[in-house]
Amino acid sequence: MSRLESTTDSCLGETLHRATSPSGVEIALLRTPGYATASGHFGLRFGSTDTRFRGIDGAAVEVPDGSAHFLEHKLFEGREEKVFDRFGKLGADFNGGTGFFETTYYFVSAGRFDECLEVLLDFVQHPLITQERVDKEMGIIEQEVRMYEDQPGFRSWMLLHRALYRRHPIRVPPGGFVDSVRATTAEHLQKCFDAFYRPLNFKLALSGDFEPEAVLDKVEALLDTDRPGSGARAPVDEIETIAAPWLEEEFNVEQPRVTIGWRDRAGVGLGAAMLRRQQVSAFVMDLLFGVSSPFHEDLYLRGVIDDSFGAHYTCDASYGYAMASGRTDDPVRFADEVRGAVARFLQRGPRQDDLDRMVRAAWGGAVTSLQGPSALASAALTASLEGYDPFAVFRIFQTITRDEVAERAQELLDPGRMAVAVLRPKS
Amino acid sequence: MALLESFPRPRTLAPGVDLLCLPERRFKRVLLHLHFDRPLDARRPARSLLCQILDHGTERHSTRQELACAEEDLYGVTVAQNSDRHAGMQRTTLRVSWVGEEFLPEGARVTEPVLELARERFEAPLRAASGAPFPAETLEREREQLLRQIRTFPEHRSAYAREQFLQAMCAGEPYGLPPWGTAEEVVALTGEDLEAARVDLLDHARVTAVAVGPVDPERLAGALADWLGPAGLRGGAAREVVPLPRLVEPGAMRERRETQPVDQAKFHYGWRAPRPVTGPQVETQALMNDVVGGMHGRLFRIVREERSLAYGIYSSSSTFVGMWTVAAGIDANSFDEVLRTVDEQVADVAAGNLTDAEIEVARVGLLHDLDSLGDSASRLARSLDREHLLGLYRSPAERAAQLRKLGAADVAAAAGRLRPDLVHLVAAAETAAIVG
Repeated sequence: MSRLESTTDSCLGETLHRATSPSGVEIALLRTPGYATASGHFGLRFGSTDTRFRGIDGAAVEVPDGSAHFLEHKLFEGREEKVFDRFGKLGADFNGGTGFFETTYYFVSAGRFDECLEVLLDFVQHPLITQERVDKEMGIIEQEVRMYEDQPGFRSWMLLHRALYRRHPIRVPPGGFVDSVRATTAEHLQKCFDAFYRPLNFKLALSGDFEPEAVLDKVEALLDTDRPGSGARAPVDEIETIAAPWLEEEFNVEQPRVTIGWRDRAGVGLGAAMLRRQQVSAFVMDLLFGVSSPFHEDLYLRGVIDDSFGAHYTCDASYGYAMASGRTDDPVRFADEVRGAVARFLQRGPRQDDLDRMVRAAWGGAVTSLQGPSALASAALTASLEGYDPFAVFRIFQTITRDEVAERAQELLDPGRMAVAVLRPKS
Repeated sequence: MALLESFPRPRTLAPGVDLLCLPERRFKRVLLHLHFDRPLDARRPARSLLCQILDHGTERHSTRQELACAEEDLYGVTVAQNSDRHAGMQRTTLRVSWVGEEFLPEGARVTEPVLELARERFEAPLRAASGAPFPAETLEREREQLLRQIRTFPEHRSAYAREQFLQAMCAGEPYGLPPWGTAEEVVALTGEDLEAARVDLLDHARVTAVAVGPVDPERLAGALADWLGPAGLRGGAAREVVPLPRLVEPGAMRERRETQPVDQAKFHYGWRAPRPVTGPQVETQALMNDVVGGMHGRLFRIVREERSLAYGIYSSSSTFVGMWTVAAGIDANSFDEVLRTVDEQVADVAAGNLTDAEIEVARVGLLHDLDSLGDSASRLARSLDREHLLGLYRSPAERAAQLRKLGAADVAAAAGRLRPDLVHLVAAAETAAIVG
């Protein structure tokens, strides 16, 4: 095991200790003196969009939509004993999550950290996937998929993805569809596991009132040392233009929901550049559509938007978009008015005092989000998976400029890359 | 850890105004919840609409935009209010949070300014130029918004199903009334009704202030006393304690099925339960709840893990109201099987058919919740408030000691005191559970 490398953040005073295991697992450790709980977050860059890939032997593999999520469920089955029962006996909180590009698992424990760490690293590295177990889980996952499909917010979000992208796999919900869940076999899940659940892809973040060196020794004993290499995800073959400028779907809603997206230009990859793009874009959206913005106030007072309105930016290595959404009786007017507000904002540009105020508010939000062992470990894992320093955001706040935000706004809010998704009540 | 072995004694700032403050330097943000408690009475819709109106300006900050700018200026403090059912009452809560000053650039002071921002929302809302209590356009716009929220509520599948269940089970009881009112009640509200509700809250509500985080208790108590203390702005207030709701003895078991265009059916099964009074009774109910409907409980194990009938099935106790509820998202065709399973498992537990292992798993989980309580400001705030409402003032360590003494007989007895009242299903029209 390599020696720990430690850095202390000057804003929060938190010290991040990092190491890499001999097999390639990146480990982040954060001490939280005085806290009773300790937390472990373990994850990898393998998510729902990875349905076509090359296995460890180089052979092309294709699995049904939702396979990464199904695999996450199956890992909780354990080998001899269910993970629910193992963590249950330790009284720990635990869960897992599957996103478009990542799968993560975590626990929070008061007083049983060592045992919980052992369970976490064991069940994620050593599953038993059989067809019988896969068949048994289908009904549960089907209910989960139905639960999401029934939510108007989720439906309009996925509709926007289909309007913005022609081929990108984020067009498919992370859990897949009922039919794809039913088509999933143990062989599919095993192929996913064999290709990606490997030390080179794993990242681990631990936080608690512990001695980092001692914890590192324990981790070393629990991590697999074999299984080198990794499968390779298929590159996203996306076309540069949006799929549809206006896309509608009928659904069980009482009032139309409109989601407007501005598709970003090519990604900047993972790492510090992506984090900066996220933060600068977030300021663009807050300056334009935040409650403190004159554009928001104007739209609200004229009854174009109400409290259901919200806006944000999201991205990963291969995609990115800004979105604004809300309920309205008149989707055409809503879209026109939002388009008009964007045009006025781009013409006027961001103001320095508004940006300064936003930066202060973002500072407070970032401080708060890095509070307590589980939040710190979660942030450290996300940063590790996406290739940046968990505290880098404060340096962005210190260096961001009005010109940078203005330039980003012009690039991001291109009317030629805007799509409108409308969920209409069933006729 | 000392934090878990003591309970901060409430500090009475004035009759009916209590402050529970837990200064805790590990946290980076202060949470302050100011709860104003009134009965679930005819003023419910006025309080709900008032909460929306108060977002839209004060004498000092005349628009919502100006209020938002002021909050951002103070390093992203948050000030918000809402009104909902709580412990059989209508609770209007002013939620305030701010970053501890030691985490801000040197010399930055936000504590007093944020408290002033919070106070001015309730004490100095924006008035109409005409002399009316609130600007007419704001009132009408927010009324329309509340009516839209009522109209679109069925889109929130789980929350809607729970609300329909509560209204059906507690029909005729204050707890069965929607806190935001009906569309007809909202339409009938006048600016004067909202003003009366505002004054009533400030002058008659029992107030509980709960603060956790890097805060100086004296500075906080001083600021709150200036507002709500005997020599403060609201010094002459005559505050009233809201009595606990009357407990209901159920008659024959009722069943209600509602048609909604949903993909996944929502199952709620309500039981009446005695209201726990002592600490051990409270912990017994919690242990029974986890044994039957906790994350490692019987229902989760049988309904989800063994029979794959639901993604999740959980139970919860409404301690002050005397209710115990099982909720699940299911395939409507599984309704009879899920209902039968709940009945069987409650009866089985009540008969004392419990293993030591299942009690221990539930107990370990609850003990973990208590051990980890001190690491979460929001959970600490909830816990302090609950103990205050219960009048028990137990530290987490005392609660843990009471929990450790409980056994199978206690759990069985608690399950035996449950009485089934109403099972409620929201499902699509074409499903067998609805058709017949």
